[in-house]
Amino acid sequence: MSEPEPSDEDLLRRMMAGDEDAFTALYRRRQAGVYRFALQMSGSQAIAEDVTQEVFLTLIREARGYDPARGSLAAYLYGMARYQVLRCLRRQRPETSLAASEEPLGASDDPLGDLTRRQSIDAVRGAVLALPTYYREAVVLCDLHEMNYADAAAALGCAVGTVRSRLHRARELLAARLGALRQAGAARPVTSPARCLI
Amino acid sequence: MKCQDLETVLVDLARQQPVDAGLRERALVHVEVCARCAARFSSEQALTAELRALAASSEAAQAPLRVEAALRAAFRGPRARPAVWWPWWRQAMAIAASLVVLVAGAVALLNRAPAPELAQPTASQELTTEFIPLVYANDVLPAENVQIVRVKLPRAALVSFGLPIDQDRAGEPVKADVVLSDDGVARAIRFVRQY
Repeated sequence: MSEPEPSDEDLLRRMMAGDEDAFTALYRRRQAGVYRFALQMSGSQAIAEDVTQEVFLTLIREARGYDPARGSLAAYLYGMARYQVLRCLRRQRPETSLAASEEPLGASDDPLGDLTRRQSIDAVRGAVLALPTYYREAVVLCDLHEMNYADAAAALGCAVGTVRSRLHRARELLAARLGALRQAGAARPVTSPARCLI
Repeated sequence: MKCQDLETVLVDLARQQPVDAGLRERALVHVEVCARCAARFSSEQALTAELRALAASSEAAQAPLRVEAALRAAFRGPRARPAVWWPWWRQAMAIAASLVVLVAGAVALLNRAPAPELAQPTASQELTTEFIPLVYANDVLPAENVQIVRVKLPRAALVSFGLPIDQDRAGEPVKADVVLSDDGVARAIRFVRQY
């Protein structure tokens, strides 16, 4: 029978005692979530990379700032990532070119379907990025990272009820924006296919 | 169930979040008989599916390997002294104790030999000590965001620690600027004398 995975808190304790392997294991377990959160909040890979580095540097320097009574370590890391993202966004203009879909366009049986799906994902990504920050972070944490309300509240430093109401409002805004995009797409004049003359 | 009541659980239902079984059943019954709410529910489900597709599209995204390499190097670096895991109350006590000791020390400094140690008076006729790092905290890095908060501390409190105070001003509070780091921890303090 294989040994159970050590918890985040176990790894953190070992890390605080100077165990580099524990830090590496904790980093590898949590970095992707932190990176994706920063990417989805900012639309910028450069910001996501900086934020990930800052979050874990802070953890190295200030690990004792984590209080398990206030929430999970993951929520604590997301909270730090949120702070760093907001700081980066305040410092610079939002990215004008949104990060495109991560999936490469490969050989497919349905290239048109793939393209349509990709356009749809890019539209949703754009709509999320266009949300005001406090609505965006609720959607990113609860919908994109499937975090429960309690952890999201711990990460955002607010009440569970506030997370719920922000999420509701964010989804209303998203639905309205995506609906408007679809209407605009549908209203666009369709070019008639050229007649085959042969 | 009324349409208004459904609104309170609609998003959670569409996101397939845990909802009280009885409430879920009543909500689904309502959706079956109310066309408007059925459309709302369907729209929320569609939005959930779109958001999940977006999440799936970036599922493989992760930080480049150079970030891990840099962090491991930082971990081995001089700043990565093994830290001690302290519960919050112990941290709070340490902070409070350090602050009191430093306040007392700095006040004594101000009262005894102020002139050579003080910075130049500012435009508003203030004399300040240098910022004194708090012993329990790491240094404040240049890139770190800090806030400086001006506070008033009771001078009389020093007596209970056996530290000297100027008896003529024992009833007056002493002003201090406390440097708070991002996480709210007090990092340094300086004392202010106003004229």
